[in-house]
Amino acid sequence: MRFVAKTSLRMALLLVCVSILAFALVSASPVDPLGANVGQAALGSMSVEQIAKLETYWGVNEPPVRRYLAWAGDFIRGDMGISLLYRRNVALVLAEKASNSLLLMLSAWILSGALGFALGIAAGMNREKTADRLIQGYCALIASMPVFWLALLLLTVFAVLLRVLPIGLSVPIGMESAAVTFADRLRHATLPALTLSVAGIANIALHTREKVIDVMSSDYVLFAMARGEGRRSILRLHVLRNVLLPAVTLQFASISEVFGGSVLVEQVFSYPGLGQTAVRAGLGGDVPLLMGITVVSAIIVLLGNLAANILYGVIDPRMRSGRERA
Amino acid sequence: MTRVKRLTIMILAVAPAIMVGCAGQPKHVAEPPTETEKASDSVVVVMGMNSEPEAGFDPAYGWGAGEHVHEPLIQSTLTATTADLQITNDLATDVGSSDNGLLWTVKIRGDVTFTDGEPLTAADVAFTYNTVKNTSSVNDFTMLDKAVAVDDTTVEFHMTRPFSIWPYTMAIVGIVPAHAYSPDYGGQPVGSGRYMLKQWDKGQQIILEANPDYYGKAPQMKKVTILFMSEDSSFAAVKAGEADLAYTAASFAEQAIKGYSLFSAASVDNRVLNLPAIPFDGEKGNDVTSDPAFRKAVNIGLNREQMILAVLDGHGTPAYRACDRMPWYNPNAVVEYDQKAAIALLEQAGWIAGADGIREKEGLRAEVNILYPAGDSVRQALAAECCNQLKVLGIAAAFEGVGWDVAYDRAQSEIMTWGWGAHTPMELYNIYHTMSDTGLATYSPYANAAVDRLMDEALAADSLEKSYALWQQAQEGMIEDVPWMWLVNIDHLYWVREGLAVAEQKLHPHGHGWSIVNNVDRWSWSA
Amino acid sequence: MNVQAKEPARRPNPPRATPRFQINRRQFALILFLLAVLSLTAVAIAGDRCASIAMETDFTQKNLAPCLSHPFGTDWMGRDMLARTLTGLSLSVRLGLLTATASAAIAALMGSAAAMNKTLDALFSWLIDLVMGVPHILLLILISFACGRGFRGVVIGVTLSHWMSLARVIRSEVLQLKQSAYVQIAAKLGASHLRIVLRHMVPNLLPQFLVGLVLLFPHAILHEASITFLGFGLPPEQPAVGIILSESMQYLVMGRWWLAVFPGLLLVTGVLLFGVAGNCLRSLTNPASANE
Repeated sequence: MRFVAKTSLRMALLLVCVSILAFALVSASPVDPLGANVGQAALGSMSVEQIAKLETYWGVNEPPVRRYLAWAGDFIRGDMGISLLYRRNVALVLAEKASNSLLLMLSAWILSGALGFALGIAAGMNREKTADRLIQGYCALIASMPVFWLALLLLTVFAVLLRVLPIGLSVPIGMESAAVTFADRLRHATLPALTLSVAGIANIALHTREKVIDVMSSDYVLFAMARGEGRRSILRLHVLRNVLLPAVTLQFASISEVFGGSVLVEQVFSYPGLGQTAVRAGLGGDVPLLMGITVVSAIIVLLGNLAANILYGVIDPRMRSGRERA
Repeated sequence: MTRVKRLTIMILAVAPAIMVGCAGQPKHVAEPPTETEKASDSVVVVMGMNSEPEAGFDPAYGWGAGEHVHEPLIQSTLTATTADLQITNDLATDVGSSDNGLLWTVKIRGDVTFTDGEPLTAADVAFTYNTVKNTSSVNDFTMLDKAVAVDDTTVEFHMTRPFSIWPYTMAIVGIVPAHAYSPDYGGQPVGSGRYMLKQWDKGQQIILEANPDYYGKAPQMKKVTILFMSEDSSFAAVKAGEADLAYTAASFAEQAIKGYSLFSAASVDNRVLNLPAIPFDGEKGNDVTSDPAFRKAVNIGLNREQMILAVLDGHGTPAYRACDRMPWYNPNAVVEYDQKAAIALLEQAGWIAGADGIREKEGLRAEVNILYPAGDSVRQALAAECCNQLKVLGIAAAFEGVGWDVAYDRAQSEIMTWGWGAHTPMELYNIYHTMSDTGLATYSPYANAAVDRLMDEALAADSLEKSYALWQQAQEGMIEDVPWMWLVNIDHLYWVREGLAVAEQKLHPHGHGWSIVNNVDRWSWSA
Repeated sequence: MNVQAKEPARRPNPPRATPRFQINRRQFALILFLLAVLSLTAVAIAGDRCASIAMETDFTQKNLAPCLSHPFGTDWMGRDMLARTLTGLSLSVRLGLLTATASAAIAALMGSAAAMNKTLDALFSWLIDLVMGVPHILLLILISFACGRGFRGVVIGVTLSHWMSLARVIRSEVLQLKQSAYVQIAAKLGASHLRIVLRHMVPNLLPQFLVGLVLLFPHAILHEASITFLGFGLPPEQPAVGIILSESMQYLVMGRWWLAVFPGLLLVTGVLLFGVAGNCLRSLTNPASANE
């Protein structure tokens, strides 16, 4: 328990630093939010007083330290501010977009983890044979592709050429929201989730393969083989248990990758999720929204790491005494 | 397996299922889902993503106004613009101004009710104008001092300065009810206009229903669904037969889609290059474009028709001013394309072609940079085509994309591609009139005292007709100086399902959004 | 008569024990490495040469499908896609070189500093946790936003977000070296810090460092393409691969798949070549890893 408390404190401190870093970056920007958001013809028809009013709204002239303290004070009380682009509570905007992304990111995370793990084991157990070479080649190829290009390819094949899946968005065109079924949401989330999963498999598979090879080259496996244990039993009794720990760590560390991938994939499929919102907030200079997204995603990533650390203790009894990793 | 391990694994397995199940619930309060049958009085329209009023249907936050002017269908306005941009009355029965132009008196009809049953009185009008003056984020109301309701059907507008074109501003301010206005008004608007807001799925669609108590002609389209999509999604929607009318761009227009035809709406949505008219002084101005002969030469040396064919595939018209074809336009601005005359002008002014074909005058090379806003593909293409055409004239030109944060500053000394086009003469004023603190116009350095004076007189004129004449006189100076070189008016293109009769459009202003549905109440299906 | 041991019957022309030209794995790795480097240099030079053709617009030639005169087709402004892609790739390669080198330099400095000093080490691990707490793309967006979203933003962003893993590796290497016998002996024998660093540490660090450097390139290139694709990098008339691909998105719906597929394939090939070069370099400098 003390371990959890210590880690949580460290996490909280990290969060504060992340928010300061994000705020510093966002305030240092020379981007003029007025020019980016108001529209040239509209700006052109405004008087000087009008423009001054808008500048106050977008916070153009306030000193950054004061703005940060105001934002931090509000944030701790649960008020993430008002999004300048959407003119609604940041928390509401994030909740809306996050619920869209959740389906996508969760399914991609689970799929890529499971498939990557399976492929990694298959490759490691069949080292240097065809299966291994194929899997290695596939992973090298996927790792060299930009995620968004993969998304474009899948879009072209499935949505444009074959026409089996929709081109984008999260709900069918023109359908009233009460009429949208879960099946519809699933259909629209399929291509983005597929893309994200495929992209994530490569990394996990390669790392798992390395760990499996490590285990297979170890002494106890050699001893087991000398004893006459079959491959399947070696896999079950020795490989899986020893690979599970690093695999779990890797899985939780890949949360950050999934988020990054979702930013690109959502852009290609016009999927209104957290990633697309981050891009819009960045391009438009919406400081509260950008800060909200950064802190929320940092929380998710850090929580993931915390979960990984806790699971360490659960899976490996040697870790339970609270010893930190070397 | 130990108990702890088993428990953890069970939780890990079940939690995602729970979360996925929760994420799948529809977010809206369950209204009985209406069938999307092909009724003869409903229509589905697709607009661009920027058309969604992020802040809601609140006139103070850009509904009906701002970057893209249109009729605020949910509310009524005092006046309205006709198809040829003249002024007609809507809620108003009589509009008059005092001799010094500082007081406008407007009488309104007494038979109008909001959709919640309350009558619309002058108090609501005064409330609306006083509110938008204080809170408006997209419109300039500094010419209004205050609005006062004298009685139930008379409103007085006290102005801070004479403003003869006040009816054009009145045409885009929707009247909101004083008793039902709050900061949340944008999401639950109550108005007296032709339509009511039935449903709004943020980021996706808006559903409007005809107002049964409307005081004017009953709308022919009873249900209007507006979808917001990107250009390619809009195209996909049309190919899937999901939309009745969808906006599109020239690059898609050459496709043939079964059951649809291409509808082109003429517009005053123009694109223009600014030519800094003073020599470079360290901050502003450009030595090459400050030569008046240079500016006149390129104005007649640019082949606008070819530009329209190349960039817009023919979907456009040449532009010679910000306000082509509107009542205050001076048709003398039209110039004929004449490459020989342009070259002659340049050579007469001393721009002699060097060995590499690029002209030079007293050691100064005819080299210019044409900027365009980085996100805009049409402006990029126009800038590229201008560069190609300028090369033929012996002027070295390169095009460069810039973000809006630096664009305004750089445009003070370099050529930039702009887009204008509003339903008010005030735009001419904003573009060409000098500012009091710098003595130069705002967006590109230029100063002409006669032009200034005439535009000030136009604002102080005591009738719209007199002001039109004065605006036209002011444009004579612009014709001579060419500080802005107007290129094209972009046609707004739409795919229309066969059988849908779209009512006659007034000239579309800048922006490709709501103006198409200005008169959706007059659309109909034929059989 | 001499009694000679009868020689065993031999086949007339026995095959050689080893073929005339045999390449062992090490030589193979070397050749592959050189080939990869050569191809990448060729691309960089070719792209540079094509730069002016890549920028020429000709609206009468727009939207052509791949044909003899335009093997990759033309884009919506009539620019030849092959020239544009090559220029873009060359830009990416050079950008990748710049950012990866800078990143590696930062990593070397941070890693060694952390290994040398206890407080610096604590600061180092804190900094890494901080930077890795924000998802990578979001960090790139923030940095690029802070620098005004242009070319500078991309370079600084990509440089500042890639040094972490290499820094960790260098730190553990330096820590290990500090404990090694020969370094301690050299110190006891009175060698100055500088001499120890230069003569003992650097030669041992160099291989790992170089491999890490080369393996940074693919990441740098991919992230630069991603951030440009989102709209945070160069202006759209510049022939960057991210821009080419984001423009192609519009035309996929109309069936012009070649605008996305061919440039993407070239990019993937380039990245793969860097990966191959890195792996060859690793097996050359650390022969044990060749058998993994």
